[in-house]
Amino acid sequence: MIRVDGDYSETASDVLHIHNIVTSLNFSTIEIKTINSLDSWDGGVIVMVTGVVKIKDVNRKQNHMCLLLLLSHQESTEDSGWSDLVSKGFIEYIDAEEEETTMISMTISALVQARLNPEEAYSDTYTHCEIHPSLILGVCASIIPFPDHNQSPRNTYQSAMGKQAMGIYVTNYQLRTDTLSYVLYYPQKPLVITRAMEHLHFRQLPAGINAIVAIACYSGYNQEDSVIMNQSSIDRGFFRSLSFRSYRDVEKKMGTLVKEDFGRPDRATTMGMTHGSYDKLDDDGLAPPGTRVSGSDVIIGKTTPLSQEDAQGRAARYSRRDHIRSLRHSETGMVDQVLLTTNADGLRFVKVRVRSVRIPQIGDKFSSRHGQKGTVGMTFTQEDMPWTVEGITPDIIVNPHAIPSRMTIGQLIECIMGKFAAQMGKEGDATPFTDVTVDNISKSLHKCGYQMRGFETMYNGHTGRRLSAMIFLGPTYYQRLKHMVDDKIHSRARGPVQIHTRQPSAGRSRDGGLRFGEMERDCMISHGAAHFMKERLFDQSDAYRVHVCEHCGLIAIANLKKTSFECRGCMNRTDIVQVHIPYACKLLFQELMSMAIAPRMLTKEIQSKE
Amino acid sequence: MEGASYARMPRVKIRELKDDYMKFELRDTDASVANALRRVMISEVPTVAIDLVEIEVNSSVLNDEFIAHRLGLIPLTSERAMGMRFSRDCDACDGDGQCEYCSVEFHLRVKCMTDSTLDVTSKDLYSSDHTVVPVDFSAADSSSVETSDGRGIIIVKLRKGQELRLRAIARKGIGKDHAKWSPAATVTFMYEPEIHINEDLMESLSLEEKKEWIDSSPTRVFDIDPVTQQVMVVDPEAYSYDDEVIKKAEAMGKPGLVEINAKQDSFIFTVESTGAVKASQLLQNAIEILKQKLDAVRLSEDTVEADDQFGELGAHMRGG
Amino acid sequence: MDPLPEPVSYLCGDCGVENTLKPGDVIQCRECGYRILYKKRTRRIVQYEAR
Repeated sequence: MIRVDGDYSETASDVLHIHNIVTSLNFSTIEIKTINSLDSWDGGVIVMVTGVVKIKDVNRKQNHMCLLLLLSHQESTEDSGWSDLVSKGFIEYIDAEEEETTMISMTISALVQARLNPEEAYSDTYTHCEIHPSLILGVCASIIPFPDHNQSPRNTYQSAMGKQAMGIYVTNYQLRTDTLSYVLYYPQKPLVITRAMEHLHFRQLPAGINAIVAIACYSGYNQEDSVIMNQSSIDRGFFRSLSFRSYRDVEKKMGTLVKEDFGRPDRATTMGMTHGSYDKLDDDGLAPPGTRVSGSDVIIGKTTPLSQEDAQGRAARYSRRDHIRSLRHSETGMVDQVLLTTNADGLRFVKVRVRSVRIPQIGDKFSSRHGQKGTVGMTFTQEDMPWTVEGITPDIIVNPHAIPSRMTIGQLIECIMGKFAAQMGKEGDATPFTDVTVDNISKSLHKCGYQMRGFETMYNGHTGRRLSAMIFLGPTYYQRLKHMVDDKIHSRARGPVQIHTRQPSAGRSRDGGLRFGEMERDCMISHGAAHFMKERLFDQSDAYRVHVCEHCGLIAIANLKKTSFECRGCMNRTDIVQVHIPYACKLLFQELMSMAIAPRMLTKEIQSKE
Repeated sequence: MEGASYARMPRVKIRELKDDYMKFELRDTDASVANALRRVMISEVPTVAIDLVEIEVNSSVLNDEFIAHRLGLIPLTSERAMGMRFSRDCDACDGDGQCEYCSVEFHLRVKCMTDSTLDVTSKDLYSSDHTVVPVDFSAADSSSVETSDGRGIIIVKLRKGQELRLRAIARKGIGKDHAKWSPAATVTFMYEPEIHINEDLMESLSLEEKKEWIDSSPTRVFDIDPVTQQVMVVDPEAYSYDDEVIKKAEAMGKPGLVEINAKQDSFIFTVESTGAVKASQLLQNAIEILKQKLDAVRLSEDTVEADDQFGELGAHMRGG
Repeated sequence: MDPLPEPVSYLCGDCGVENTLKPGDVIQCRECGYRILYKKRTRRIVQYEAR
C-alpha cells in the first residue's frame, strides 16, 4: 500500500524493492523514513522525517574524494558547501527507523581498513560512515568531557543538571525583565572542552568556573555527596552570583469608571493596608532603583477607589482599598530596575526587577560535569585548608567515596588533563571517541614536574604536618546550580490555613506547613505513639468542635454567647453534646448531608426505634 | 618541676629578599611553630582594606555590589595597620566607625567623556591619608606607566556617558574575617629533605637503569655526574615528597636504593606579599601577633590564686 | 494618596532623555515618543559592605 501525502494511491508487494528505488533516486530534499513491517500486509510506509547525517554510498570509489572535500572545505563557499554535499548524496540524513536498514562504520579509518583487508574486517556490507562518532550526542551531552569514560546514567544526570547551571544565559540580561534569572559574577570557559562546544558557543557564554578540586577526606564535612568549600576563595568572588526576580502589576479597569491607580497609599484613607513598610515608595507608588528591600516591604503601591461596597459598614473615612504588591516574604534585595509603560489594552503597567547577590554558603548546590552533584557542607578559610608545597589550597574538597560506585572516571581524566592544560596555557581536548589516553596525559604531566597521576603531597592546615596519603588535586570545571538554601529554608510554627479545609496551607510562599504524610503516619503507628499522631493530625492541624444532637446524631445549632443549643429537626434543645472532630471531618459530613446522606454521630448506645 | 624550660632557640636565615618576596630558612623549632607562623601570616596580620562603599552614581555595566566587592579586594599600603585601632574598638568616633583614627576615607569620581573605553583603575582612588593608598604595581623603571603593570588594577570600564561616583571607607581587619585583609599572596614552607643514596645498591644498576630511575622523579632531584658517572643529588629542595623514586626503586627490585627523610625541625619558607605589607615586615608582624596572643594567655597568672579561673588546668600546667 | 504628588522623572528607554511625569499622564517620551520609561536611580546614597 503506497500512500502519497497521506492518501492511498497504489499497491505494491515488494517493499524492499520500492525502498531501494526511492533511495536510489537520491532526492536530497525528500527525507525518507522506512518502517519495515514485512510481516503485516501493510508492508512498509514511506514518510517524511529528518535524522542523523551519515556519508552515504560507501561503495563508490568517489567517496574518498568527497571526504577530503568535506574535511578541507569551509561551509561559506557557494559551490561545495554542506547543501551541495547533501544534494550530491555524499551526506545523507537518516532517522532512527531507517538506521535499522544500514551498516554504519564508526570511523573512516575503520572503513578504509575494511576495504583493504576484507577478511579481517568487522563487516563487508558497510553502507554508511559516521562523520564523527561524537555527533551522536546532543547539546547537553556535548558539554560533558570524556563522556565515553563515564557510566551512562551519570551522563544522563549531567545532561539534566547542565540546564540548571548558572552562567550568562543571554548577553542582554540587563535589559530583560524575566521572572527569575541567575547570572554568575565571574564565569570562566572550561580548561577542558569538547570539539562540539565550539559550535555551541559555550566558551562565549560559559556556565561555571574552573575550580581547584582535591578529592580527599578532610574533617568529615564532605560526606554523603556534600563538598567542603574554601571560604577565602568565596571571599574573593568564587561562584558569587546575582539572582533577579521581576514583579509586575497593571492598573486594572474594574468597570467603566473604576480604575486602579499607582501611588503611595495613605493609612488615613486606605483600608486593607498591610503591616509592611510603605516608606520605600516614591510618590508615584514605585520604589526607585537602589532601594534596599526585604521581607514584606511594598514595592508597588496601588489603590482602588471604594465603590458602595458592603464593607462600607466600616468608618466612612475609607475611600480607597489597598492592592499593593510586596516583596516575597522570604527574600531580600535591591531594586534593580523599574519599568513603566502601557500594555496592549492601554492600561498603565509596571515591572520591578529586584536583584540580590548570592554568596555561596552552606546548603548551596554545586556539581561537576559528570553527575557529581552535592551541596556545601562546610567552608574553611585558607589557613585551615590542606596545602601543597607550592602553597596551593583547593577551592573545593570532594569526598573520595563519591567516585567508586558512580564510576565517573571522566571527572578524574578531566582533572588530570586540566592540570596539564593550565600549565601549558592551552585548552584540553576531551572530545569522546578520540585518541587521548590517560597514559599520554600522565606522561605530559610528568614532564611538567607533577606526579604523573595527578597526586600531590599535601599538608594539614591545622597542624602543618604532612598528610600520610597523597591527594588527587587538579582543576575541574564546576557548575553552580540554581538550588540555593536561602530559596528553600522554611519554618512555620502556626500560620495561614486554607479557607476550604481550615488545614495549614502548603508551600513556602504561602507560609505553609510540611505535610505529615501517609508514610510518616505509618512510622508513628509502628512506634505506638498514638497521642503524638493525634496531635499531628488534629490539634496542630484542623482541630474543631461541633455540637451534636443526641437524638439524630447530626450537627446542631449552638449559640455560645446566649448558651442556647437547638436541633431543628428533632425539636431538641437539651440533649445536645459537644464533640471534637477535625474540620475536614465536619466538612465531609456536611458534603454528605448535601447529598442526602446522613452521617450520624451517635454518642450513646443505639436505641432501636420501635 | 619549676624552672625547666623546653624552649629551643630557633634561628632564621634569609636566602632571598625582595619587597614582595622572601625565602628564608627556619631551623631548630617544631613544625607546630612553623605552621603557626604560616597561619598567622595568612589570616591574622592586620591590613587596611576598603570596607564600606557609598555609591552616589553608577551607570557602568557592573552593578553596585560587584564594584563594592572589587574595591574591597584592592590592596592598600598598610604600614599603619599594626598601630591602628579596629573600628569596633574605637572610642574617638561617634560609633559609625568612620573617624580619622580608625579609618581612611577614599573617593572616586570618574566619567567617560570620549568615544574610547575608559578604564577606571586603582589609580583613580584618592585617599585622605597619603600613607594608605592602593598598592602600586608598576616596575621600578617608571617607563612602564602605560604597560599592563603600570596602569593600576582595573575596577571597571566605562563607555561614553557612563559615570561612577563613590566614597569608600577603609578599615583595619584581618584575613580571618575576610580574605581581602590577608596581606599574603602565598605563604608556604617545605620540610628540608635529607637524602641518602645507598651507594652499594646504586652500583648494581647499569647506567641505563640509573637514568631511568632518575627520570622517574617529576622534578630534577638527581642527575648523573658527568665526570664520575655516578648518581648524585643535584637539587634536594626540588624534591616534593612524591615518593616516585622510592616506588621506582621498588619496582626495579632495589628497595632501599635511596632513603629520604623530612627533617622535622628544618623548614624553608616562601613568602609572597600582596604589596600591602613588605614581605620582611609581614614575617615580623606575624611574630609580633603570635607573641601578643601568647601573652594574652599568660597574662592571667598561672598561680594558685588563678585556679578559680582555670580550675584544675592551672595546677596541671604547673606540672602538679 | 498624597494631596500634591510631586512629579517624578523617568528616563526614556530609547533616547535616554529625562521625562517628568505626573500620576495621570500618558506614558510616552516627550522627545522620541517611545513608550517605555525607566525610573531613575534613587537620590539617597546607598551603602554597601565591600565583602
